[in-house]
Amino acid sequence: MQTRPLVRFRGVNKSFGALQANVDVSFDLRPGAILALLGENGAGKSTIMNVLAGLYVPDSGHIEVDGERLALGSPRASVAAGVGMVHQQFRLVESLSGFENISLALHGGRILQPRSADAKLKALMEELGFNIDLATPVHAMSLARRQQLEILRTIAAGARVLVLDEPTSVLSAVETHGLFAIMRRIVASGRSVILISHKLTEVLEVADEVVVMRSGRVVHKGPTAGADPDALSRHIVGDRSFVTDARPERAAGEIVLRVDKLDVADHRGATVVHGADFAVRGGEVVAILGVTGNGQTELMEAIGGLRRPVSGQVEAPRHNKRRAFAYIPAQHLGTALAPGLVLRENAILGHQRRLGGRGWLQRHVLNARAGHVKGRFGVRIDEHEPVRRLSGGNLQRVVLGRELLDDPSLIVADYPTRGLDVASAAQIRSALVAAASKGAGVLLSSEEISESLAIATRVLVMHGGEVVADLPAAEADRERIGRLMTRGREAQ
Amino acid sequence: MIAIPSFRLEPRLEAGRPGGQALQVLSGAVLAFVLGALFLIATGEDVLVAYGALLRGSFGSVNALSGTLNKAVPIGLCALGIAFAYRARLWNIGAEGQLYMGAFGAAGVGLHLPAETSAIVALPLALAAGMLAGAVWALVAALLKAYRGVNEILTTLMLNYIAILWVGYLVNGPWSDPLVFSFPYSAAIIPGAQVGKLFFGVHAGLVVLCLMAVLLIVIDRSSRIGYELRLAGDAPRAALYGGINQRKLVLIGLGGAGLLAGLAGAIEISGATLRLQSGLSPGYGFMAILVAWIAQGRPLAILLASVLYAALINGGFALQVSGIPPAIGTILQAVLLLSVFAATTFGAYRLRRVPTGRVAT
Repeated sequence: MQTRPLVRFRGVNKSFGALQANVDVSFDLRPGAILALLGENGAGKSTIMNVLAGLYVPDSGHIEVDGERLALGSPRASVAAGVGMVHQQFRLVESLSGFENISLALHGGRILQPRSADAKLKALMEELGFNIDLATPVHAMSLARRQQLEILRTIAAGARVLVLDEPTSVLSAVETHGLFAIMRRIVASGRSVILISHKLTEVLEVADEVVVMRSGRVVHKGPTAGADPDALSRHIVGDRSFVTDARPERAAGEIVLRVDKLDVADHRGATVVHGADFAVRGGEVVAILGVTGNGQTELMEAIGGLRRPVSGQVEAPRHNKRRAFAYIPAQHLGTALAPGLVLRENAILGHQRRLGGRGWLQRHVLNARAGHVKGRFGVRIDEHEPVRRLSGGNLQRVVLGRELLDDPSLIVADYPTRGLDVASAAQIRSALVAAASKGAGVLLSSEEISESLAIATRVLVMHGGEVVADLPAAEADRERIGRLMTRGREAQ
Repeated sequence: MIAIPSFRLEPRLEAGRPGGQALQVLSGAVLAFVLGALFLIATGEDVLVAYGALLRGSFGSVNALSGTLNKAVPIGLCALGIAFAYRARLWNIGAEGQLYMGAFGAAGVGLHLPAETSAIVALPLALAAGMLAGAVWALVAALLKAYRGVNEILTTLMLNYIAILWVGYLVNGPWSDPLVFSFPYSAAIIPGAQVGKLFFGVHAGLVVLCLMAVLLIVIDRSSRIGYELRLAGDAPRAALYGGINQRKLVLIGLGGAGLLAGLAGAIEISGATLRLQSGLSPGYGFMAILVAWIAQGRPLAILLASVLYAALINGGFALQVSGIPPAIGTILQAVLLLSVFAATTFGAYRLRRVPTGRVAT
């Protein structure tokens, strides 16, 4: 028997100026199913979900929920129809407790607010397997807990269609499995989940059906059972081939970065990096691997100059006491790029005192640099537009293009492929390998072991704020590194 | 079945063109005059008499026009300074006090140089002393902000009162003019320290104002410091990433603002009042905050807005002369400001027809 779809997308078109973000998008979502929406950055996944959530008005087409036409362009109507979206950036009030955040959504306008969870909410948590202490303020919760809270809030507010936008990008492997367990119980209760992702292995593990989008169109739909991963990747990236250059073959040169007994504290003042001590030579690609939250980001920030170390020293190329090497921080917008400044201005960020001109910025220098930054990785944007409107992949390309411009002798990159699709990530890895082949030292942090092993000449494993292993790539196999990442020194 | 078209406001994605913004301000002004007219009718005043007086008092005669332009100079200079500091999201609420300190600096030079000092020496010296005094006054707040993290909104605001009272003390005490009994005036400054008139009573401060506006445009477009200020204002963490010394930026941003406000004070002394007096400014430094906001920090728009604001003040005097209560002039000013703010705020949105509106039977 064919059950009636919970949601049907029917010929949805949406364009932004000349860009066709969605072209004739049609697919169905069954009740009680996890549907994975796969595609590269900019394939149109978020656009179609924003149409569903009522945030965008499509140019044509419509959406049915339970056979009823959804009033488009109205977030209120979408919520009333049972659509709930959990965005990548959580929308929680950090100073309030978990329950207060849920209460805001449920009893927003009431003058007398209930103080603790009622039986209904407790039953819901029980049924779906949530394990959150609702009395804890959000700022004291881990990212995984916050995500659970956000999902619980959305469901408690009546969502039957739960849209999760790249939910695993902030989670460790263990947390990801916890999330998947919750997702399975959510669909067992008759609700449906749309999972936006570009991690194929996860999708095959948890989803029942898959819809692949490319350049705004649906290019494949079908069940995950028996799906061929290689075929799916071809659907995702199309017929382009992308090959990461192999690791650089080159004898290590001069030391370009020396980290000397470095202790670094996080924003609360707790020391999260203990006695980091290593060096990077020209021609090397050194990968720092570790589970998120083991001090990698703080270490990279201390090297890049965003964070003052508690003790110890960093010796790296400097020019008038300022950083004179490439640094790609974990966050592009707001740190590596000023969102409100135009591309030309962002193209000189950090270099503004090395361009000559005695306090004046020369127009021809700015134009030339902007041209190079755009051209290096093929970013299309008007040089006079603020960069905030670029997609995540393009922002990362702008940062990389700028930082690699003057052939730096040292490149420090904090998880430069985070959140990027397969092709963009390969492009960025290739650029790093190419720089190392020309003699630059590369220090790179990442959570993806295979990606890093493909290009690294040396691997540092971080666990609990310490560098617990320093291995030549030849001796580093996935399993050993996995053990070191999760168990630290005791794994040796 | 009838399809009811529905509309909704959407934020504009593209930055507005200057022409579009002028149109927004203009529509705000038209709205203000309509609302103002309704208000005048409701209070039983004659709309035509009131608006006629407003126009006559601001642009209606050579005297009115020159008075308007002269008043625009201190407002415009202070507003340029406020806009400069705001490039780095620094709030200078202290332009009024910096103006008073600038007046104090210029008057100090103009009162104490030998009377026969030539203008080539005395005038630059007086203006420089004014700029220096204004900048130093702003730097008090800037240093507290840069090294102790004290909120500059509060410090610049409080420093106003100290500066105003300091000038009051001088003109009642050590610098009071023995010849004008009981008036809180100093003696006149020496002729060499006076800027002199351009034409029809307009003093040369107008030229200074225009030059400073052009200077701010140049700083914005092609100076490194202008770039760093805007960068720090847009994304403080990106400024840290870019190796920018944030303390230095605070000192430069607020110091520059104080310098311009000090220049405004010096020009008031050397072009308008020709002596130090209490009540030197009717609040130019505060009006300048509004002017800088209405003009959204753009130098040329600040020129225009400061002239219009000065016209409102001048026109307000004419209202009183026509027998309309002065409070009404103030209310009309407020209506105009709110309308222009509203128009520019809504100008950031566009009205869009939703294609598939709800279907009614």
